[in-house]
Amino acid sequence: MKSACNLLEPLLHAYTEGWLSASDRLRVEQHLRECSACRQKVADWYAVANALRELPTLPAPMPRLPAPEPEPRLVPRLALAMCPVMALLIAWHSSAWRPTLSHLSTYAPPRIITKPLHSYAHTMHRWIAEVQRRWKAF
Amino acid sequence: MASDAQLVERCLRGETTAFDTLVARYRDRVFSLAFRILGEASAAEDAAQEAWLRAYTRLPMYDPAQPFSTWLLCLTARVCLNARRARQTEQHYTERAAKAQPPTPTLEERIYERERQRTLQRLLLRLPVLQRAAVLLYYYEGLSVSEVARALDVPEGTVKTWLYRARESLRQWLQEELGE
Repeated sequence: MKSACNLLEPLLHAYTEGWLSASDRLRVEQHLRECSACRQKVADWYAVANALRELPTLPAPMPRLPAPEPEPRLVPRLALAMCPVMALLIAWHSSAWRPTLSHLSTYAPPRIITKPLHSYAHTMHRWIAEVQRRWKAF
Repeated sequence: MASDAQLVERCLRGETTAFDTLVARYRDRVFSLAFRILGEASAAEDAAQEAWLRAYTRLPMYDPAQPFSTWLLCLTARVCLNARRARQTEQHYTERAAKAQPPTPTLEERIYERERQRTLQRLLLRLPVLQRAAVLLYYYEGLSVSEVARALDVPEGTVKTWLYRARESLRQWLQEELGE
């Protein structure tokens, strides 16, 4: 019986998968009726196959988020903040944009501007010059 | 609900939301297969991501005559086998997987609910990787022998032999584990 089992073992596997021809299937079934060891083996194989089929589907983890963009460094941030100031300075230094007393007499009513605009500008200009001087000294 | 083939067609017309729907439909199955072949959650996550990327770029090559799921899962299996080859040798990898039983529950531990499934997964990792892929595609994913053969690029007879050997090995190991 042992040699018959060994010979039939590949067929037993094919039998459990339904891959056998009708004649081979009858041969295997005949053997299974007589051999309890092979019956047990076939039952075990079915059990293994079923356990594999019943493995649960696992929940996929959420997709990983891309790393956050790094904060801009201090120097670029300062440069960005200085842009409007620089624009004002450039505009101020260009003579085409600098208001004159004649502009004031045309556009600004003297009652509202208690102090002439050019005096504010003068103060600011001096302040900027002072800052520049200190910066150079520093 | 749109069929897979319709979604693929819409995707090829440039509708990216159609691909999102396909991902939502199959992401768990792709991850599960990758996890069972590779045995590690992080490696499986990488492989699943790679499989989706490859599926997206190779979508024009998809043949609508076969089910999308079969095409996708075969592609996933191939990505996993490549990932596996690119990593360490089989022996080292198996040893690592066998030793990977830390005292605190890992992601894998949390994913598994039952001891039997854990045992089976552990024993699956003892199989040679090609046998494992064949077993998972055939039993777990329900692909036919010819589809598995095409996915793994081997003759059908080889797949049948692998299935036989794998099932016999698992039967013996389970008997040893369960003390029967």
